[in-house]
Amino acid sequence: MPLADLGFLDQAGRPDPTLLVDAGPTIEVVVSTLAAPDGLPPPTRTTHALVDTGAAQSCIDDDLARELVLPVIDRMTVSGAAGARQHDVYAVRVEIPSLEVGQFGAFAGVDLAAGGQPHRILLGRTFLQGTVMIYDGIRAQVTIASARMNG
Amino acid sequence: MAGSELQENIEAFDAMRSTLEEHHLHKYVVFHDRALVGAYDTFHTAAREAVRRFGSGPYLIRQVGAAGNMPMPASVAFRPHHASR
Repeated sequence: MPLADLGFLDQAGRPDPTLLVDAGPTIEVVVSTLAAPDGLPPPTRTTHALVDTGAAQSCIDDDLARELVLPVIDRMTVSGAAGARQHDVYAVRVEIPSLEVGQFGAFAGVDLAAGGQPHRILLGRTFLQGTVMIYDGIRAQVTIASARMNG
Repeated sequence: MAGSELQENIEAFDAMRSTLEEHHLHKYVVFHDRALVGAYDTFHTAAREAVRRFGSGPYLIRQVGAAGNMPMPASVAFRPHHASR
C-alpha cells in the first residue's frame, strides 16, 4: 500500500507546523483528461493539490482547466456567502504518482489562482473514499495511503 | 456555440429527469445534440464513450440523481489573506 506525506519540511528538514496550518495537506498531482480518439495524448500539467476534507467534490482551478482545454461536460450551481453562481464542470483526470492512484471524474471549476489559493486542485471527499488519511497535528505530519484506482 | 449546445443538452436532461430517475438512477448518462446517448455504470465508461463518438464535444455527462449544486468549499470561500504566501 503506497504511502505519501502531505506535510511540509522547514529548512532544517523538520516538519513545519505553520506551513501545514496555512497551506493544508498538499500533494503533487498530474492533471489531464481522456485521450482523444485520434490517439494524441492530452495536455498534462504537474501541480499541487489540497486534500480538502471540507469539500464534498473535487474542484479544479478554472484558469488551469481552460489552459489545458479540458472538456466542459456540465454546469453546476456553487453557493457561497456571496450567493450562488453557475460554474463549468470539467472531465478531469488527476494522477498521484506518489500514491500510484488517480481520480477521473467531474470536477467543478472554481477560482483558485485568482483567489490567491496556492493549489490548483482540491481533492474532496469523493477522492478520500479510496484512502486512509492520518492528520497528526502534534507532529505536523499528514500521511495518506490508498490501495486502489478510482474510476 | 459550445456553451449554448451544452445548455440545450442540460435542458434535454431536465425534460427527461423523471424518466431517467425511474430507469437509470445513479447511472452516468451522456446527452449529445439534445438526445440521450446512453446510461453507464461509471463516469469513466460514460466519458470514454462520449469521447469515442463525439470527440471533444460538446456533450453533457451527468449522474442521474446527483445534486446539481454544492456549497463552495470553505478553503476557497474563506481563505485568510495571510495564508496566500
